[in-house]
Amino acid sequence: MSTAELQGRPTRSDRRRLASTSRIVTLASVYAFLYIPIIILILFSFNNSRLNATWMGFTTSWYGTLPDHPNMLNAAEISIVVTLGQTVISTVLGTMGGIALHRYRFPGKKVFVYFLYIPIVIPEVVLAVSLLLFFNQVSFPLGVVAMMVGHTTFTIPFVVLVVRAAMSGFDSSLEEAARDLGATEWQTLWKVTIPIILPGIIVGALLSFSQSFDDFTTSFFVDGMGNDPLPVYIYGLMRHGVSPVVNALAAIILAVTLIFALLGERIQRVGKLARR
Amino acid sequence: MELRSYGDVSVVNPQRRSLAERLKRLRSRWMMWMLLIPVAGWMIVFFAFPQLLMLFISFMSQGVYGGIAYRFTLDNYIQMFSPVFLNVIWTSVEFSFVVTVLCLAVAYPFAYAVVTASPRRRMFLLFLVIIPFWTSQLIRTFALMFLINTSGLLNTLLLQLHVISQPLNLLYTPFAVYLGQFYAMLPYMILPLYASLQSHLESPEFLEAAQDLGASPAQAFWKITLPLTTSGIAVGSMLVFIPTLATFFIPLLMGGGKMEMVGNFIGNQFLSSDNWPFGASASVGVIAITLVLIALMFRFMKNAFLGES
Repeated sequence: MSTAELQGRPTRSDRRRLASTSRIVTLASVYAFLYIPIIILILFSFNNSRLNATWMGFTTSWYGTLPDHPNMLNAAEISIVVTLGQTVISTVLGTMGGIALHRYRFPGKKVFVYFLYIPIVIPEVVLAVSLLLFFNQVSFPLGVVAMMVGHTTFTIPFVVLVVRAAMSGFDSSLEEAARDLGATEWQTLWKVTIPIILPGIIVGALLSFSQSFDDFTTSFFVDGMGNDPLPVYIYGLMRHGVSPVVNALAAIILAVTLIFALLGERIQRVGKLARR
Repeated sequence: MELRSYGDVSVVNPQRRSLAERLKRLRSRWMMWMLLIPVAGWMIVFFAFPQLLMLFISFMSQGVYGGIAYRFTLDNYIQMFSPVFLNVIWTSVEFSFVVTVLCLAVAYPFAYAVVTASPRRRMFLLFLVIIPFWTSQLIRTFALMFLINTSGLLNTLLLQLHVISQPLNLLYTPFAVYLGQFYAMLPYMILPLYASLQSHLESPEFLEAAQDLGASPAQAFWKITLPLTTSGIAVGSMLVFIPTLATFFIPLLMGGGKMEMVGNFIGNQFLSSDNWPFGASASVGVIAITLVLIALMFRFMKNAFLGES
């Protein structure tokens, strides 16, 4: 026996066991905290009870009744239109910006980059009220187009960020080679640059899509009357108290954003492997 | 192009660049503007201009029937020092501070536990953090509401286990707002801490040196690991503190509107109270605070990275 054990002090192996136990407890409790609410939410969207509190058996009927809800289909349609529209605009503009910021140097670039990333860091409510004020002052009607503009404004910086990161792993001598072989700038862009950074562009588009599809705050301020997208619609339902219908709708939104997130992860990983 | 050596025949004199070279340069410049103008234009029209408009309106008066009267005034800024508004600011700052500290206290040991896992398991554990990061904050907030409301699962469970005899009123309390914000922000603290811990543990020379010199694990942690991960702590804290300061829908949903943060206050000036100029000045104030915090974060990161290298 070592002196430590004789004296009843913790030995090295005791300490190691304690460390590994506390590690497992830390990991398990944080993951439980992060996931249990979501799992229960989804589980109870299949609960055969109006009252929600206890498990009364499995049913998918809440999903079946979703389309009967007033304005529910309208909200879904608005969400899809706004999200798809803004994803196209923000992906195109953001990709162009990301490529330009990687390729060129110009006076005031640093300031421009800071300016471009500010919408990521300032609180969203501030952005939302400024857009409300802007639309009001230029007499632009609130609604679907206003939401599209608002969402595009806060998703563009994310696309720029992702595309710029994708460009940083890009070998610019390929562009140089294309130009030396007589390709125009335009051809170089379409035939060389964009195909190579395509995984980055897709990840940017997916990020933009899920940010917009999830958005509550900006939509809440600029959607106008009768144009609630799904998150604002759910918010309205939630204020009337809990109901399994809300669970079902929430589960669908979760599923949509999760699918896009997993897709983004996968593409990013494949892109990284391909570049090696 | 710079002069590299006098013996180099390919040294280019800018004046004597060939026509082809100049044409290429011109085409490249043209392409640059084509790529930059759309995104710059969009952000100037829909981001910079609305913010400037906000600044302008913050110096205007409130109209008689709500709305804006275009008369210059400093009242909105003076009003920011009224007890009502100072109270809102204080509530928000205190709230953000507590949430940040809680996130740090939980995320640090957690990130440490993830980093010290085997590389393959590490990727999976990290992926499990990224999923909530990607999922809707509104839905995650609703999941919490569903769990802790008076007839929710938590109360039902505790009643059935006879831990409590009356359902707990957890929802629509300050506690619920703290819980909701903590739940939303935790992944934002974990990811930068993970990144900074990983880069620190990948070069274990300092730790090994400390051990060789007889430092206990605790000493090694406080004297080596913690100081070397300050950049992660700073970035994570800012990523939690800033959005929390002007959080909007979490207090609305979890607190039932009873706990008013500065974000809700601004929103209400534009929606229910119809005092847009005052809302504008509060908004300008929040942006100013945010930008100062970000500048501090960058300075801190730079210092920390210089210290690390």
